[in-house]
Amino acid sequence: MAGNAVTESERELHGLRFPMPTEPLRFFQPERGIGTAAFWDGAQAGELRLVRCGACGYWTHPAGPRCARCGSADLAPAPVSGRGTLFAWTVSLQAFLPGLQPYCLALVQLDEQEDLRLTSQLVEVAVEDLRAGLPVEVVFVDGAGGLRLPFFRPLR
Amino acid sequence: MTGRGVRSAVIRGVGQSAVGRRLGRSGLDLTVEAALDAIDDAGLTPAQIDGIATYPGGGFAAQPGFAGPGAVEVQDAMRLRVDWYSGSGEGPGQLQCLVNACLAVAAGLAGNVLVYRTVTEATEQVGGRGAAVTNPVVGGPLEWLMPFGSISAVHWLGMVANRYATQYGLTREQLGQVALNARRNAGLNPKAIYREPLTLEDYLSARMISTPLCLFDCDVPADGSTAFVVSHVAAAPDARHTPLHVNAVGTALRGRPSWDQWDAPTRTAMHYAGVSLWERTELTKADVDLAQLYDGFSILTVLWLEALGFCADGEAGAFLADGKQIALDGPLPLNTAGGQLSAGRLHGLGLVHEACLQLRGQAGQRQVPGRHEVAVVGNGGGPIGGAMLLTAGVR
Repeated sequence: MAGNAVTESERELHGLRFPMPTEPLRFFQPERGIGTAAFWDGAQAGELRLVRCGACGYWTHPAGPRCARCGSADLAPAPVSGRGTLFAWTVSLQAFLPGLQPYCLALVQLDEQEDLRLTSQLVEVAVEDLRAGLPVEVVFVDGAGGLRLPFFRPLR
Repeated sequence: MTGRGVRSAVIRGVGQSAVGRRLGRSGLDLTVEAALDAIDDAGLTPAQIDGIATYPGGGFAAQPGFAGPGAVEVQDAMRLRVDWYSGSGEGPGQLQCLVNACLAVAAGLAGNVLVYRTVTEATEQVGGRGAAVTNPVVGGPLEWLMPFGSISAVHWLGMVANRYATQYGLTREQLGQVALNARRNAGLNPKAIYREPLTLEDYLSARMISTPLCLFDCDVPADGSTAFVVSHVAAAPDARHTPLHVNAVGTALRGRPSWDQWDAPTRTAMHYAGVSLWERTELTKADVDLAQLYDGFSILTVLWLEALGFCADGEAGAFLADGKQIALDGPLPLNTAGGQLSAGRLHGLGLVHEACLQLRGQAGQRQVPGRHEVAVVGNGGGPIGGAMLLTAGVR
């Protein structure tokens, strides 16, 4: 097939690395409402917590009021391993906010369950190393206002 | 000839306001211009309009210039006397206002429904206002995206495009054909915003917005309003132009309607819209003469080709490769007015407007040659999807 795969590094991408942020990120703040606060409280405590069904063990993110598989209301936040693989990514180059540097958004598939995924950022990685299936692990970074965010980095 | 359900309805009139960048006019002003154009085109007067349907309707919180005026504002500004009205942001994509109008006509709630979609995103997002943080606290689905920096649709669809490309080997040259085709057609559309030729080299050297989507993979914010008159088929003999039959609509929602919780890039909302469209018609994709497929981002057009069954999963890239299949003189002329990528982001209904002109044989220099009796429209992307099959003459 002629041409370059779209996922190949483009001119602007060559040599890009995505370090751990050294200043607090100032994106939007989460609402931390009913059903979502546990996730953010977990991050504060340095733990990635998602919602698991006590009846059948199925994980759901984002969680609803009942288990998405068996319908049970016996749901509770529980820690996950924080390990997963890179499902998809996009390198954001447009400075949507003033002074914003390129960063790598990631859709991470957690090891606990095939369809357990969350949007996050990938750090401590070079653009050349990005590939589907890359093993990753959670790492917590500071956001504005004392928020802590679960990001991911290549598994060490 | 009277059909049941949506086949009770025809698109009897089409209209459009001025379209451009930063027209500096209000959404209501543009809407009334488009509405009067459509009503006149239908051979009717405003006094004969007894219904209104719009997307997304009044009170819809979104980025500036996205929503347009609500149904009640238009009713008041035009002093219409309507028996039914609806403005709604949930449903089969932007097409829901047309679907709602068809259902109102079929149910006997109205006989001639004014349908419109208006955007003033070009004027109202000057100076980056679109990205302005008016409420820095986000809840709902966005709570799982925006705090992480996934703040724009280009991020959400960049992720979809990345997954699709890694699974199926889509190349930038293939993806770029969507943009190049749109620009070629826009050159034949006097109302298109970007009409100067675009080469593959231009495309490949354009700056990246969020990989793998570059500047030319993103549609162009515009000001403009598109309007239609949907009437009962029984009244259509009075129409000024060929009434266009609504053969089928694709309105299903069977997967997870999410920007990031999808199992496969080929199984987002549009896939199920496409499936339900074909479940509701005796026509097949072989009957389709032209396609107007949503191109808010070029990857969405790729995915619509598969959602509607024109290509199997993962095969749209090869289908697009030389651009010939989707050219005006090809087997499946695509986005013949230039799409949102070049003609301007009229948010879905601009594509319906073009489908109507093509079916009526009124598309001027860009009229597809040969048979133009069946058109398919796909609207939306990510968690949003709707499809519509329109025919000239009774099917």
